[in-house]
Amino acid sequence: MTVAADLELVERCRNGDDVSLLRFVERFQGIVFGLCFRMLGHRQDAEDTAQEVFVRALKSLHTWDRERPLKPWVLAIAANRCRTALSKRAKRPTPTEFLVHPVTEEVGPDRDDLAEELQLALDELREEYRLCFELFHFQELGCDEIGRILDRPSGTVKTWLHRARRELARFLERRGVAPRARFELEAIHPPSS
Amino acid sequence: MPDSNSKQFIRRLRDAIDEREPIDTPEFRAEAVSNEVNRAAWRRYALLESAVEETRDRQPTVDLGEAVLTALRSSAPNEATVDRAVSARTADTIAESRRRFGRMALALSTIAALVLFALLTRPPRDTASQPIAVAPDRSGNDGDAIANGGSQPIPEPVPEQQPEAEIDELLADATAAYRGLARETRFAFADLALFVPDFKPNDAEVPMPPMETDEGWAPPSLRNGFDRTLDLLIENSDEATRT
Repeated sequence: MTVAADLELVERCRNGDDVSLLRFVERFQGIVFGLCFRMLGHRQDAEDTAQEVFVRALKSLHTWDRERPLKPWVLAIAANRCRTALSKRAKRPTPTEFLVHPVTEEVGPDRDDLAEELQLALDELREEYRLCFELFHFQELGCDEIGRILDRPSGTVKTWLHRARRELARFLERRGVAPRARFELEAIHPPSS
Repeated sequence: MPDSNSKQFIRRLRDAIDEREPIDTPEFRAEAVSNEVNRAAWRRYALLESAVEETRDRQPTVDLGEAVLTALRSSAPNEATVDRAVSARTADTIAESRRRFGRMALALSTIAALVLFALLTRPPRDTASQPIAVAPDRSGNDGDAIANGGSQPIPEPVPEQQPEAEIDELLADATAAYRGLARETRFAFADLALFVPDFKPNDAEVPMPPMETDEGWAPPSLRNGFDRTLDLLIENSDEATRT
């Protein structure tokens, strides 16, 4: 979507046009809900938070800087809401539903669900590493843009990203997760012994 | 321990991922099989890449449109109610401020009238303190008068008609009125200060606070500063009036 289209959509939303409000939500709900889900690791919490994100974004459209793209602005609100939700969760007594994935060292036959394993690994990451990883790999933002959202220099973002990848990779390895066949080196270059 | 070749290989792997370039290329593969460290590093990052790919392909779906519209509609009336309540309170405060300004204007006119009256009725200071009954002789025979042993008539002091007491009384009245006015001004400006909002940053446009700390940032209250300034001004004006 072009900047002009973004501007038009925002103007219509500000005028209270229901169709445009729905279009705004439809346009961003995938990325916002995805971010909330991976940050919070819980579907219901992610839905509630994503809804809050849209209500807040639509009410504060007048604060959006028209010189900058709309997507990072929406993602910044989502990142803030997730952080708030996580800090609220940290203050609450831990309900049992958040303990459904105990981290173990055991290797089982069902370790091939990479997406699920990655979510487990993300849950174990520090909040800021997780947010960096999410914004870089799933939202495809650059380090500068992530730095602006997190109010950190891009060098710090790069460091956090490297640490996040290293910890995630080690977690997956510990869990005995196997890569897809195309990533097996032996398939192309059998080890010379 | 990885040797320098392995370190370089790992660095190039990381750079490639940073640049969103594929790591599953013949070049990387050829280097990966050269030793165990390279092989393990490549396998680890490749595993992560494939996990990200798979997660991306399986984005969770949700339909939030109606829920968001409902939330927006339900929050709008509450805000309107709050706005109405604030408007009513503001209108009351404005009416009260206007009444106080009216009283202030009246007090100011009274003071002006008193000061004007005091200035007009006060006789010149030198005339009052040294009243001369007879005008001095300016005919040029001053020397004769002295030579004649002071036969020139000595002017008799005229008794004062207590003008100082009256002026002091008027000034005391004016001072009391001024203090009253100062108090009114304090109240009036305190009301005005209510309209100076406490500034709170908008969540949507403010950068996030540092991630290690949860300390919220807030600028110093403009309203408090304004109140303190007013208090200082009024206190100083009281001091000036007393002296």
